[in-house]
Amino acid sequence: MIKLLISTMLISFSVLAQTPQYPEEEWLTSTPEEQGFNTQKLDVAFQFAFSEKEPHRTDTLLVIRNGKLIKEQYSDGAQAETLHRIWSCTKSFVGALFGITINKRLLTLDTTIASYYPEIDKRVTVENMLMMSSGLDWNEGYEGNPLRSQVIRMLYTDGYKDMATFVSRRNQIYRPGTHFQYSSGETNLLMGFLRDVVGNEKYENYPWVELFDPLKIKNVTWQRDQKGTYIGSSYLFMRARDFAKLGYLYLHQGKWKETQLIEPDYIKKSIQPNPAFLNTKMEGEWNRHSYGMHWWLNVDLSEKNETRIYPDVPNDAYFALGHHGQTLAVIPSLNLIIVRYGSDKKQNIDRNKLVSLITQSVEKN
Amino acid sequence: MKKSFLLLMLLPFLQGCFPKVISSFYSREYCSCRFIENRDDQYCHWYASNFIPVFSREIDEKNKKITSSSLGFTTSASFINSKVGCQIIE
Repeated sequence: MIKLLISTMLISFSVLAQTPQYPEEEWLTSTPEEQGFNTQKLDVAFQFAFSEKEPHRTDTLLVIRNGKLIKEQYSDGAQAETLHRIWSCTKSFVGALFGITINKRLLTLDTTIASYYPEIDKRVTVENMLMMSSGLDWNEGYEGNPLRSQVIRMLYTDGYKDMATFVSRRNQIYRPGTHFQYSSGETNLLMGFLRDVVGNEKYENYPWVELFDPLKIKNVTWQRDQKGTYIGSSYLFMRARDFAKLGYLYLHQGKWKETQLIEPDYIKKSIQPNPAFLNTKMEGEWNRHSYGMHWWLNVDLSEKNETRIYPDVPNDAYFALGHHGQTLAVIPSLNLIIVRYGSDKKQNIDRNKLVSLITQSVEKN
Repeated sequence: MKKSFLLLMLLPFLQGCFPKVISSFYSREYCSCRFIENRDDQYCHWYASNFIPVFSREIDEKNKKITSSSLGFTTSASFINSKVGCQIIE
């Protein structure tokens, strides 16, 4: 009897030890030492991030390991409660919302966009758009190439009133699913499409009801265009602590506490290189910057004879990346999440150096 | 500086509404910085400025509205509420 009791207790402890501890509104906290970090090495990473001698300008850095917040630092007017712009990292939230909507059986990856946007080639699917491979003509340039940039026209001039319609009128120049072209337009078209799928009334609060509320993300701003479409490409503002929760959701295969918000198969597909990316020869380092479904990856690309983009970072890492150096890094092999916010107007932070300084400061499991 | 000068020289020959982007960008990004992120004016002005400057700006702190002008275009952006944030309004 005693043996049975002891073995039951041991099993319970073992299950408890494996069950992830999910945050409520705030994360559980711990020390770097308790979570296996070499504190001195971790300090070096933070010094690098916030150094005024570097060309980047970090204002937020936060590290979570084993479900616990172990270190965070803010500067330059940012604070823990600051709703910081995350620019293109917003796209990964759109990826999550589509995962949720598919899980609710409201659409599939094979659903065609033309059902609501008849101007679009009838072959273009949700999956094509999530993989940035619709084949629509697009130039994604910001300050570096403002005159030819469609993203600037969409956000600030010709297209800002109704971004999805602006994108839907672009020319089809590749067969859908064959050519990778990173496009903020595709994400905004997806968000316009989502409204048609769920209906105007539900769309109003859809990101809150389906994603932010379950994750207990209380204070968040998501800008819309004048038609009311969420600007999925760029305009989500949130605390770093809340942004990390998206990483935790993906780290746990789409499960949040007892609820499977997103199917594991969708998560798996989101974080493996997509076929169009593998088929497309990109310029320079972009050829190594592999992409899944609204997430950036760090895999070695034997298909392209290329090594991974961040050579000193584990190859299972995946990222939400945004303008001016915004970064969410998820590293499953280390049960590690990193959020870095900044305003790198001169030169983006060396992500390989920053992330590897943190991953290499992990010394124990 | 070179880039800025070159663009200024080229502007009379540019078609479309590219010059409008300066005031649109400034107004939207300043509004977001000031009224969503709650940063100070100095930081937000730096953040929203590009290589072509805005020539005038008017900030209505009470109504959370910013109007800026550059290259003959004027654009306003206004803070709607904490959920929706800022929108370009004209």
